[in-house]
Amino acid sequence: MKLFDLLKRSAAKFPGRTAVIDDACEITYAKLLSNTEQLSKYLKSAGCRPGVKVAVVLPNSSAYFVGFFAISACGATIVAMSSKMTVYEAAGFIKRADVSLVLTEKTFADNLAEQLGNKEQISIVTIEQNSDGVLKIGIFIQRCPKVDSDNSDVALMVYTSGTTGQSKIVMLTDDQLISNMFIYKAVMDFEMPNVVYCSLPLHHIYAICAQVLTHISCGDTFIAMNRPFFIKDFFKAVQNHKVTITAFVPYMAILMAEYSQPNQFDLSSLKYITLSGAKTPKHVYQKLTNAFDHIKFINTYGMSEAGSRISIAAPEPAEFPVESVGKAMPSVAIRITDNRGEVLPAKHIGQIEVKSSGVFKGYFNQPKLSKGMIVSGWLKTGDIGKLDTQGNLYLVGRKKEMIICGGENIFPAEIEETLLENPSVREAAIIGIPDDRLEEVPCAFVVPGDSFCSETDIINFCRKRLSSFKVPRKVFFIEQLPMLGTSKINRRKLKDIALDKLRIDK
Amino acid sequence: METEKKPFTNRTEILKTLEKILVPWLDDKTKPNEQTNLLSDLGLDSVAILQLVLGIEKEFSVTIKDSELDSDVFSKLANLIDVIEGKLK
Repeated sequence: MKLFDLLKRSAAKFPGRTAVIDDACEITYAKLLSNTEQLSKYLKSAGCRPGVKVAVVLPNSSAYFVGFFAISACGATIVAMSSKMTVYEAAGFIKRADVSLVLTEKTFADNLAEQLGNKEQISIVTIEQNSDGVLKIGIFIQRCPKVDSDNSDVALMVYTSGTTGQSKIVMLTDDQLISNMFIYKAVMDFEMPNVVYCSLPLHHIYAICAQVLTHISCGDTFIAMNRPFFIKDFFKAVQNHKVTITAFVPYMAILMAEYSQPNQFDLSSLKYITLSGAKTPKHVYQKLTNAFDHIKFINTYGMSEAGSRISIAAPEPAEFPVESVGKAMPSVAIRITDNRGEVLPAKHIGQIEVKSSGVFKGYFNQPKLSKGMIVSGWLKTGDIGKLDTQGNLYLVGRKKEMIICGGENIFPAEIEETLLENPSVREAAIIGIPDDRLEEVPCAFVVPGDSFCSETDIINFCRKRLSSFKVPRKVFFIEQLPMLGTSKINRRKLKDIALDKLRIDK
Repeated sequence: METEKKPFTNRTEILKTLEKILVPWLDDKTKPNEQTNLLSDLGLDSVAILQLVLGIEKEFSVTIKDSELDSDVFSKLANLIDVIEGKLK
């Protein structure tokens, strides 16, 4: 079974039901399927088949759904990329993921073609839908695609942090994604049909699994939001479209908890809000459950390498401690281990390990690293946590260097590499510093080179090359980076220095 | 105690100050005007919006609540100027 079959089944069952509403159009399941088949036909004619990697660089929109499922329909691999990437970031990622064809919008295609240059054997195809939902395919550059026969079973590639260093590209098969999605759906035991508010970027594994795959298979309606998240927009959409479910990361939950006049909106249709991406603060969770007692706020935990969902604080009537992220989903096993890999008893803190049918195939082009991540079938998540005697999981921290800013994952190495391209920078390190709303924001430590540069110069340099959430909020100049041994930067020490300096500045 | 507000007497002055706050998101060619769409023309995302609002609060000595903000406010610079102007009255 392919991801595309989920759409095909729902379109057969509910052809007239609205599938996606976005700023430009509203399309039914029948139209979504016919547009998907139209694009898939073109992609096949352009050589897309199993083993060919096709990137979808589109904002949250009905066109995103068409692109996503059309790639699956021709058996190729979907490479999910952020539409917020700068062309500089996108071109680097496209080369690293060995993408053959990019599906995107016209404006991005122009800039991307220029950035990639003529040497790259990469096709660029634009797609757009008019207000009647008519699909227009634009062939910008067409070249012969490459086939990666070792990975012809891979349905989806998403980027993630791994435990250290640069972002990794996770490979997941149809079976892994579909089995995880069906378990999630069974646990959630939704009242149907649902209207799903999609504000999280649809390239996130959380959104792909908990929203796109789950609700396409239910034949639900999506409200695809292609704009920054405003809590007032969300409340208006709930009222106007009778939204029943959405997925939040902590900063969205904080905005909802802090909103002063929610009663001016009719939120009675809203039944579920799933919370993931990082730990939602306890006081925020309590405030939400007190203020909105008709809504189920469901903590969940997952990661790309696990095919997404691992644990969930559902279903009712079971009760879950507020601080926990619930119990392991059915067919998923969780254990906690110490530094030597020994399994720890309940209430002891250690690394979270996971075993399930959803665990990934491996990282693209990094077989050694992939092998080290899975030992005897157990995936080492790199996250730190504990289990209680009832099997509830609690997140304590991350072993990873990853920074989470407003639900977006930031990999320090990527910003560090960009900084090192600046001739005024000799060495650089990125750490996360706490932020009341965004959880963390990136902060840079720079060892200057021979020429002078200011904090503003560094920030402007990054702005031209990186998405705005990755641009360091603060730059500190330092004579030497503190090290652990010979090669590892002591990030703990840098964090202490940053926090001290910021305290003094206040 | 009420904080002292800067004497922004007209929309042109507010726009000039906004231009300064918006510098990080402007390229060399873009000169914002009241019709500029901060979301589609300048591509501001959620993190950028938070930074912009903090900048506005600091420069104009005003407080803006989340309940006053939605995508319409940022769809035209004129709408954002309306919000700021309303605060300064």
